[in-house]
Amino acid sequence: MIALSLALALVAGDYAPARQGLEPLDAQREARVMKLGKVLRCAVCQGLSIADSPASMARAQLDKVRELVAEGKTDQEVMDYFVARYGEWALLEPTTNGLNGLLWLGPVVLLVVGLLVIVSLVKKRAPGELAPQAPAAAADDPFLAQVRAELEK
Amino acid sequence: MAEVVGNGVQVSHSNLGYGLVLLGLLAATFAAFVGLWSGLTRRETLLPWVRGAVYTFSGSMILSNLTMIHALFFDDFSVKYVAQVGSKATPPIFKVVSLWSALEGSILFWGMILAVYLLVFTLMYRKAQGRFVQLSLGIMAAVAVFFAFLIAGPANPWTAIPNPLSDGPGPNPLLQNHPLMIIHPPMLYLGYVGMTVPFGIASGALLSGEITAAWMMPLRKWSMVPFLFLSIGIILGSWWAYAVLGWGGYWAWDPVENAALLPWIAITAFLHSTMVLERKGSLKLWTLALGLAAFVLTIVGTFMTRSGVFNSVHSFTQSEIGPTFLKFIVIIFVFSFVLLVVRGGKLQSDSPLESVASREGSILLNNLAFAALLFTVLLGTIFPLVQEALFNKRISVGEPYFNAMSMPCWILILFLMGVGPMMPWGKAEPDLVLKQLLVPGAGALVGLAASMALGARNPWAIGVYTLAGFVAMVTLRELFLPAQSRMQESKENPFTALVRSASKARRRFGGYVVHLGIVGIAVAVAASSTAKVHVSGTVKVGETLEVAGHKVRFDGLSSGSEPHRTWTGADVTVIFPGGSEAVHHGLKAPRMNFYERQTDPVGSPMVDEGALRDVYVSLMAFDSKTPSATFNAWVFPLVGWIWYAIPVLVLGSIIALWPQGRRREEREAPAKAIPQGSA
Repeated sequence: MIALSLALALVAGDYAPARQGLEPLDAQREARVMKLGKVLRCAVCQGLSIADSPASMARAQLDKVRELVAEGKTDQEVMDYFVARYGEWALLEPTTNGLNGLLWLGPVVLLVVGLLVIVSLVKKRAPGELAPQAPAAAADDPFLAQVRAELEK
Repeated sequence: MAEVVGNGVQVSHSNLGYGLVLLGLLAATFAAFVGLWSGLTRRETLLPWVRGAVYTFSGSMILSNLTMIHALFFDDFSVKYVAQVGSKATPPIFKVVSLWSALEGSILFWGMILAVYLLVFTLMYRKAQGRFVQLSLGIMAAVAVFFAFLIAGPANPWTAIPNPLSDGPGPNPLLQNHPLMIIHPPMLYLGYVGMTVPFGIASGALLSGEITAAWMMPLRKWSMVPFLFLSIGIILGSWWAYAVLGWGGYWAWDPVENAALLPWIAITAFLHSTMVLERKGSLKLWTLALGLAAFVLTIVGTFMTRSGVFNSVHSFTQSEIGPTFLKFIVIIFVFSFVLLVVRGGKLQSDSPLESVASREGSILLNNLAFAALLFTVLLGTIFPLVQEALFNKRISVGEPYFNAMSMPCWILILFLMGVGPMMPWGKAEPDLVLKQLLVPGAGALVGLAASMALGARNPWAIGVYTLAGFVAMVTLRELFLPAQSRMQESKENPFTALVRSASKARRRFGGYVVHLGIVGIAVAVAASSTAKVHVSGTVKVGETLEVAGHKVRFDGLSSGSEPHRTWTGADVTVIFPGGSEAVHHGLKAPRMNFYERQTDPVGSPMVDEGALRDVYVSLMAFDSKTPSATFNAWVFPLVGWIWYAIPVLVLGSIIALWPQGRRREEREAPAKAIPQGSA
């Protein structure tokens, strides 16, 4: 009921989730703000960036980015500011430090190893000979080899 | 608890529904046990018993669902689930929809979808014989046991409430917010549950140590079904996010979205590698592994969605079923792994790979690209959980990571969509391939020139447009060349020639139609994400906000109320560059919805759809005294092509799935289905 009356009050009145927001900076610096906004995680949303999220918290955080950019801070300094407050969690793009390296290297390693496997699949049977039908293990089996030898006699 | 009246048990919805679930559980357990045991011990006379038990499972599960729909429809609040999601005020259509609006009901609904799949599969191959069928049915029935167990125990919707209330709260408001929410979940479920069939066939093949030629076509066709439904489900889900959530996007790499994408990647890779399996008899182990993986990932994805391990928009379905799912995941993972290791050696490749520059070579590369994509998405999704669980360190893996890492894979896949069809099976002759390159090369140049002329500067996007031109020409040639030669040789008219050539190679033709749809989606994603224009600002009544040549005029505030919510909208008129206007007032305006039980409003954007661009406006804040409104406005070029591609995907899949004539299929499939080992 409280919520309903609140809702009704809001319908009758206003809904301004945040301060109206700072005015955008000049085009070049605003582009930097949006780029930074894309890689910073909104503190209250489900994995959205502060540039994407419509939440009031995200608007406020984006304004903070604007403020810092206007003060002449570098991209790294802006990101450090957010990491200092919210932890590494604030970065939507994980760092490459420590175990996180796996995230960036893993798929690349898989791709390279996969390519090598595919190439080796060809090379093994490349010389145009008839490919062996039996698996390698069976070919190595001395008993089977002897049986084959006897059959061929 | 059953209500005891006198000496007998009163037949209530709860008793009937729960009784049917128990019967289904019993039948599925019987089918799984007898199917697997008789299949492994070669007692083929028991097959009719397995079929009978499957029919019993299907029948009782379908009836149990109908009972629930009846209970929902007639507001029987003595059933726990109805008390949880029902309300007398809910419109009839939403009463039926509330079957899948909360956890217990959606698991029950899964049970019905599984029942229908098993019923259709068993009926279609009712004349097939042999241990392969027994083993496959046994595995599918084992999956049915799991779901029937879930419904009977941890997610039981049938619990009777002794003193029911006279009304309930009604389903989740988000579900009533948009019609897409009615069909998006069933499509996803049809995709998810459909993975059971290829899983069953693949497991049957591994258990019996043989995949016969006659079962390769069913394997491929049955994987097309979940592929299609999952594709539709994913696209509808992204459309819903776009049309409802209001942040100006359709894909956020949210764990729940990834959960649907993972099995889609696996089944798509599988669909392609089955071609090599069918044609060359090679890649058997890899293909079957992909089929098993698609199913395991489906269950993993369901666990991610349903257990609440990820705090995400969809976590309104959190519950107690997490541990049960986790156990099931471990069982099927170990089962699949052991099966592949122990039985994999029995599946021998019939023919080796002669060259990477061949059809099978390009499919291998396609599979590699999909595998890398799968690994990236899986790693990115679970990595934060691992970091937190092992090192208590909270990190985020979000859109920038997924975009950067998946883009090369998508580009490679798009490239192979063009190159693959140009390659012959076996080994390509360089000069023959070069000769074919003229038309697609021209297509690529057109794509490149068009993107430059339209001002595209993003290198990835330019790459996509160029490749799209290339792939489109290759695909169109593959679609129309056979018809053209028929027209020349048999003097047929173009339409007859096209229909006849298509019906001669339905799966090929259908596959290429699907490819065309995918090319459309690739272009739409590239254009809408790199060429969008975004403006935000506060305007008073009569003032306009300009975005990419489109003016958005604020006409004033309006409000209204519905039984479950009140809303305030900012009426706007969109003025197009040509001067024409589109009025979006009232319910069509960008709005804020205030729900009774939520303190924060839920926004709904205004979307003015167009074939070439969407104008998209979200209301961020409003002030009724001035009055003024703060908007976020976007123009998204071509974004609608993503959803418009659905009919193309459906058409292609239907062509591919269309039976080749019933008699021929029946003659072929069952007759050859007897594995050599059991003869």
